[in-house]
Amino acid sequence: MTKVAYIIVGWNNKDLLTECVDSIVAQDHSDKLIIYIDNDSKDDSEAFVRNKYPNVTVFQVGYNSGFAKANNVGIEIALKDPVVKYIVLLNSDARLDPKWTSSIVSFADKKPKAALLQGTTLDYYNHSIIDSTHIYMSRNGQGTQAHWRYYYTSEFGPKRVFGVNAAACVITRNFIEAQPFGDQILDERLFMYLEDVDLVTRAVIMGWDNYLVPGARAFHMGSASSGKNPGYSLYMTFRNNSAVLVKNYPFAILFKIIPKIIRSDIDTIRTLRRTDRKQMVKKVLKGRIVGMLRSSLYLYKRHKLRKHRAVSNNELWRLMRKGY
Amino acid sequence: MDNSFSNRLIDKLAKYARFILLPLKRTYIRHKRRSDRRAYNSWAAQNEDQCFVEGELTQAPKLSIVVPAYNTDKDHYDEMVYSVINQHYENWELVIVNASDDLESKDHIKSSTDIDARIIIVDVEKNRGISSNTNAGIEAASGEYIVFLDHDDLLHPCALHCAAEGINNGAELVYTDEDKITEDGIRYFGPHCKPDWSPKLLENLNYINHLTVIKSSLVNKIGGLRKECDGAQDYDLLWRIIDTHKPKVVHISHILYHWRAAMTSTANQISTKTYIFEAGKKTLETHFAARNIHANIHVLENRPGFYKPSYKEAPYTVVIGETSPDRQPAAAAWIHQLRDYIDKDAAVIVGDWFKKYSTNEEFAKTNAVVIPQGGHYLTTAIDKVQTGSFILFNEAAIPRNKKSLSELANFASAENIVAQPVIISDNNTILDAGLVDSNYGLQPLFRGIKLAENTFFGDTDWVRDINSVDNRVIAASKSHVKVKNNLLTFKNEAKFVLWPHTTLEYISFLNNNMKKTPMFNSQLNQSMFEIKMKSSTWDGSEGRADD
Repeated sequence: MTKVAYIIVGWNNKDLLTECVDSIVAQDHSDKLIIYIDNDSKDDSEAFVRNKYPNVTVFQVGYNSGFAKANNVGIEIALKDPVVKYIVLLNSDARLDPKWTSSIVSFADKKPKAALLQGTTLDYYNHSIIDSTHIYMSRNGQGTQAHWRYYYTSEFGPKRVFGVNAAACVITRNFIEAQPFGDQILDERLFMYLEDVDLVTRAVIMGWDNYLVPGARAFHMGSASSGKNPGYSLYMTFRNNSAVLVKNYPFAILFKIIPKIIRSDIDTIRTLRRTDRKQMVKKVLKGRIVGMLRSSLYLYKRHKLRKHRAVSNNELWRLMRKGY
Repeated sequence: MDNSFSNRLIDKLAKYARFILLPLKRTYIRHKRRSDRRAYNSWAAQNEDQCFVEGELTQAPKLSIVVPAYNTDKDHYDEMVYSVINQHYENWELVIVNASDDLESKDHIKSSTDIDARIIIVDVEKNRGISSNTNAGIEAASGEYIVFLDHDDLLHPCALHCAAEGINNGAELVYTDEDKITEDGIRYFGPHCKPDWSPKLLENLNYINHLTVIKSSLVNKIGGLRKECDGAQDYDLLWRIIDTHKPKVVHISHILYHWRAAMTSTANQISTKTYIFEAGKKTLETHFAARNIHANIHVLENRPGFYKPSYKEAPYTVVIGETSPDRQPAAAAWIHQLRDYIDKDAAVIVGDWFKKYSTNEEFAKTNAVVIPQGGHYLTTAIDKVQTGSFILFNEAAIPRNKKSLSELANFASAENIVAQPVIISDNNTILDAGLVDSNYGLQPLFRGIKLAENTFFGDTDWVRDINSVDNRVIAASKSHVKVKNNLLTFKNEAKFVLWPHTTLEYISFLNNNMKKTPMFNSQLNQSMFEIKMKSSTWDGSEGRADD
């Protein structure tokens, strides 16, 4: 049986952890390795997990390293076991349906070129509303959760999609080992937000496939760790957006995107002003400017990634559309 | 262009302001055509997202998709492969025959085994033509059914599931509707909604085309595709299987296949590929020989892919229906005119009023047989028919072509069916082309649409299997008809076919019998998208899909 490793990152989320780990324990795929990475929580989460779930491997980072670094640490621990074939990234506010792992594993076993996979992630509070089915990159350079807040009426998939949402997703070992930068799967410089967009874009550019698997359901509350500070999330989203674009996309595509970025930013600002959130406009602008200034930090990685591009510009442009 | 009030008004005013209004009309029509095309594109985009999966399947047989690939463009190939991977149905295998010369394309195809474990690549040492390549793929296929897919075309995500539903209904040959997609894969156009099983239409052109799913045991028994028919090899395979094994044919009426094509009209695509004409001709010659019918196959010069069989000459009689007294002078003039369009030996059976309205020499020239009008007119008329078939005129109409009436009669007697020509008005609008079954009962086919116009249901001048006729002008034999209350009715075994190579221009009606036919009283007002064409059972293979 293929071994699956589950990685949970926690930061002051002790109340959410019980349900999360319980849903993993209840998975009908029996060969599991559960890893909990603690980002220096102040509410005793580490001790709580160690006492309640002795079979879970716990690791303490020692400081708040962010979503990316914590997951990278977890992946490194998981890969030490040579039998592990699939790695599951699970947010602490996400829960899994018992058949989730077996559906995705049986699907991924047939697809040697699969990089990331997800099922349909539903809203935790209302199981007939979708949180996300996949991520698509639209032509204004923004990665968007597809079918967010749509009603869940029919099954989605199987479908090759642009990318997956990291709330509840599976990464294959083949893809991790093919990474051009060694062990940095998620870009740590991004700290929070859009690391999944960066990862899926890298997968697509390197010629790998991401899939949406039918019949696999997960439940997600949405932004439990950072929802308390929406201004910060907006700032980080816009800051990291430029990073993702500079790091991954060919210049020909960036050239086509830039007018659309300007247009959609203007629309975002107008919407924020119209809906009584004027103070957010400052965050958006600050995020954009800081992001542009920080672009030079990613030029080295961009240069290294250029050799690994396996997808033509035309095809990439075609993959970047709303309906994909 | 329809005969609406605004169009007629514009025509009238154009005499006085032709430099202003006619260009306006032309612009309006061009705009309407363009917006119709765009409307189809948005409908097709929604169709792509729609899910036709309804419930579980009782059996899920393995479907082998065979794709002969030759120097495929990388992007087109990838789109094709991913459209198979995105299928809802899971029990498939994709057999790709890699016959590419170009090394880049060859390597790209070879590397596609990484995408899914169900993809098989068959290598051939050199390209031996599409038939041998496809046969190599069919040999390597291990599924119960073979699905034919071109190397750059796309499938709807529910295509295989719908085909499996058809198979669950006992089908051995399944075909679906299709549309076309531009080279860059962005815009949908040119849909083709096909009728249910229509063998006469299949003799006119290969209307089945894509997507075809055939039971692999039948394909193997028939020996696969024939190399001599390259260019029309799928047409040839269809006819050989249909003639030898008489499979059950099911039609799925959803648009599930997207054929990548340039948006130019067929007229611009005339190539000098005469081997396609020869291949299709050979196919039909084999087919007619298998049916023991003597026919010469003609290829229509500027329309590749269309065939017209010409049958053995058979004598026929012309029967003129009952004529009411106020119509008699005009009818007499019409019959004199008609003489040029009928065989010299053919007799014309008319009522006794004819002698009054024609001179002695005209009467002699007409070769008329006269019967008294009255209650038993039609019975006596049909009895007097001594040839195998007759053409009955219940309306005054003049053929456009001198030979077309005899063609019609030859067709009706050789195939032993009831043939209906197309009756048009003087500006080529179809007035009568038979009746077809639909969700709203019997409906007149293509009434109000111009002849030779391209519609979503195919061109209006194709040979079609229809469900009934309106008794205006028909060609039949005595064994098919019986007369009841001076009206012509048909026996149950009679089959009806529209023969559009004979077009008749309407002049006037002859009698008021039309008011007594059931068609006259039914509701006619339905839109084109909603009418579904069905055909009657034929040769033992079930054509009517029960829904």
